[in-house]
Amino acid sequence: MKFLITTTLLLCTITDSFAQDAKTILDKVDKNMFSITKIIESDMVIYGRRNTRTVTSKGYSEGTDKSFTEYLAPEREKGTKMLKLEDRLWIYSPSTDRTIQLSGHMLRQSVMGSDLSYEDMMEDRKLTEMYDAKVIGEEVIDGRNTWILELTAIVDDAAYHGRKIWIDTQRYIPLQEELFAKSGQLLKKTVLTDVVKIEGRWYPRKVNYKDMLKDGKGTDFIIKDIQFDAKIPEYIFSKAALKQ
Amino acid sequence: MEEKIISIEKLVKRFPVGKTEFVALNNLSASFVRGEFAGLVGPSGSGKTTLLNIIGSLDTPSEGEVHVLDKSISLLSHKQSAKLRNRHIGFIFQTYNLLPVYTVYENVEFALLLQKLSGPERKKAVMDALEWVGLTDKIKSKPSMLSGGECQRVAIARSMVKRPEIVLADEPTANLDSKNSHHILQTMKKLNRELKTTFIFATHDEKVMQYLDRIISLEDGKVVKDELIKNSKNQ
Amino acid sequence: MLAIKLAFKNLLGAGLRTWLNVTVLSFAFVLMIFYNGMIDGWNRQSRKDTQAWETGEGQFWQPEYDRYDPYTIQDSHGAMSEEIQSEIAKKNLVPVLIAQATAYPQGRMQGVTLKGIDPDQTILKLPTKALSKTNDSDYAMIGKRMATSLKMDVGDRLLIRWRDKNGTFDAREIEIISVFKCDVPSVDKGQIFLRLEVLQEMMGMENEATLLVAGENFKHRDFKNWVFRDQDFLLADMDKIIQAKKAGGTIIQALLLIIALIAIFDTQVLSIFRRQKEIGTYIALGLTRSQLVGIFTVEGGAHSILAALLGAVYGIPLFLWINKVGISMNYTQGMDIDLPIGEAIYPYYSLQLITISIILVVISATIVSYLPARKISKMKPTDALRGKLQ
Ligand SMILES: Nc1ncnc2c1ncn2[C@@H]1O[C@H](COP(=O)(O)OP(=O)(O)O)[C@@H](O)[C@H]1O
Ligand SMILES: [Mg+2]
Repeated sequence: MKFLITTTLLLCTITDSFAQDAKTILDKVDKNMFSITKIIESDMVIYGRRNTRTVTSKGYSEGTDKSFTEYLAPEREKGTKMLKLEDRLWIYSPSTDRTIQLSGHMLRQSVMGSDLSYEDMMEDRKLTEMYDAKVIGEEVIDGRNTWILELTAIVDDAAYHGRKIWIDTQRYIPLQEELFAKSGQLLKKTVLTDVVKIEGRWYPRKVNYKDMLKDGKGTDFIIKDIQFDAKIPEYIFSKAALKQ
Repeated sequence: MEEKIISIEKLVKRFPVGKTEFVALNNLSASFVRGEFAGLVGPSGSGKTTLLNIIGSLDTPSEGEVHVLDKSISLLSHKQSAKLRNRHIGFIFQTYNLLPVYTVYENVEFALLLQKLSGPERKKAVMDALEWVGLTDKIKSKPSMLSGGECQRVAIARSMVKRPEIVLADEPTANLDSKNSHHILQTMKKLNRELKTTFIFATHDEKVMQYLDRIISLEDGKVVKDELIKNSKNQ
Repeated sequence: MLAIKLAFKNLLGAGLRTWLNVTVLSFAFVLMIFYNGMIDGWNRQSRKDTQAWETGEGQFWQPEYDRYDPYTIQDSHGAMSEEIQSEIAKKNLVPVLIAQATAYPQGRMQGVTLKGIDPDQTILKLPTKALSKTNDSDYAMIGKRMATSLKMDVGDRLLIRWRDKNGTFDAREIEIISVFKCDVPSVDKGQIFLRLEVLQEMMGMENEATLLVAGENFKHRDFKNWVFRDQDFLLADMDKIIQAKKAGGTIIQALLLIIALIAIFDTQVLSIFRRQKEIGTYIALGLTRSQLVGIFTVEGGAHSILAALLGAVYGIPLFLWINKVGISMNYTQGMDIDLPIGEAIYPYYSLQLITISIILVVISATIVSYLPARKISKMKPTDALRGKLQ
């Protein structure tokens, strides 16, 4: 899921081979997001202290406002569905046959025990609205040339006061992101790898997301299948779809 | 004329035995006047104890009428019969039936506890009774420390302490040797004379018969002989 | 009167059997009083400790605050008016700011509650003085239980992450400057104490607090936007837990009491059977059957009086001794108990407790004595005299 958001937030599909300033780069990252529909089947691999769990899900999304996720495995989570419409989030659990709307503090809970909270999935403000960005250098990551962008919050309710994003200079996709506390302490790190061309777009198939204060390997998202601009029937993004 | 204090008319007492009934007293009539020293004599099983129990209101007639001090035994409630025994009737048993946890004094005193007497009055009555039987030196003893004869003397004191009209003594000497038997009989005879107390014995002891003024012979629940004795030891 | 006199005569006359019954019953009795006394003593101690360490003479809460719902903490902070400030200055109130955070001891993740408090406060027993040392470091104080759960000691540094009033993440290292020992788990478990200004600055909540603890000299009055919570409210849940503990103990007490009562019942049945001849004699002497039932009931019931006396003989010195040395609670160390628990508990025996126990034992002993004694009223005197009843 984070993958979903991260990608909708960060992935830029319009390639522009000219060097640009940070704002322009981010604008490109933000641009066109709303029109894109995606259907992604993915595995979320949660590395715990003792065991590793894999949660498989299928997600439908339209822009950043609407998304619908259905969990397919393991057995315990199977049939659980999640609907996000703008800033509202509902979860349907088949064991209780109930739909509940998550609000306030519940959103800070971890998603299925991963390093991600629901809140992380809910942030859909554009980075350019929340942060002042500048390019602070270039770096080669895994043989790819990247710009390093430093983002500093300009609104006071950003969860992360600072961010650093490494963006592939040719493909315009982020390869790495770091999130910082107000004090400058590194909190979280996202690494995007296995970049492949799908339907004419460069796309990272694997994202590792890690809480840097905690030991462990974090949580991996691995895309098994992705469809761009597929037609998604409107009823998918309705509460009725949760119970089906 | 002499005052009749017990009258028995056509008394029948039946006991259920299995599915049938056993007739213990069969159409028995008799009467007693105040101051008698009488005995029911007869073989074991002839109905002596049964008759004494009915007179003492411990049991009730199956048929017939028994009047004790003008009260009909059949008509008495539990409370009334308890009161009759408490005020007017003393019992003496073959096995003494003393209360083992009490001292001699307390055993005698017990008979008075149900009556409203002041402490000093009660004490005097108890000491008098114990003096009649000659046991003033053993008042603190427990029954287990006494001989059979002494126990029976305590029982006599207990039955006499409330100065009842009637004393019913069921085989009082059966467990005593002859010396003790004579001793207690003499004691009772003396009380009979001095206090005009009516004594009715149930016995088949020859020694007892020597003291009796009247012998009523029972056989199979019937009176077979009822005779006054003129020349017995009491003369 | 007669019945009571007779009862004791007969009971004492019965010797060993009576004393066996009385001894067992006295155990039930002493245990009942002891256990409840212990719980009451514990209760009093807990209340006292909780008051001294945590609740003071009542607290003013932010309206949203619910101590059992951590999610309310985020919104439970409010400014302190001048009125409140002056009470604080007079040491009649001590403000506490509460925030939620995540601690990362040894790379683990652990939810913690941060509490900001004035180091110079005197209202609570908390040794906040330790926090008055200022330096570049952010000093923190934790309780022993918390130190154990974090596996940390004085001088260790701990990384904590929290979100300020706007929800922005922040993180920094704090240094444990003191580990205090406290009998009240609720002021220790999961909590890290900081200086009030430090936490206010961390949260961006200048001059704000979550609750105000009232001290002895505080003259009660209301403050706008603050809700007063009195002792009864603050200690209600503790009372409930203690009541539950009391209930738990009743099983053992009831069991012991039942054993004793069965013994009495048994003794009664046996004694009525064996003393038929005596019963017959009583009837011949003119006692009514109901008087006899009374005598035997009182006799059985009198076990309880003897038990109370016997219990007093060894119980009172025992209780006095226990109250001098206390009941060591060392074995509970390391156990997860959610009640304040001192090193030793000093039982408290109220008159009410003793009276209720006596009444309970006497009544129950009388009832079990009465049940078999009813049989007497169905006896035929002649059968009783012959001793032929089955
Ligand atoms: N409660 C009873 N039930 C049945 N039979 C009884 C009962 N009491 C006495 N009997 C019988 O009645 C008869 C008379 O008994 P009892 O009056 O005791 O004789 P005694 O005293 O002359 O030896 C005996 O045969 C005895 O077995
Ligand atoms: Mg006989």
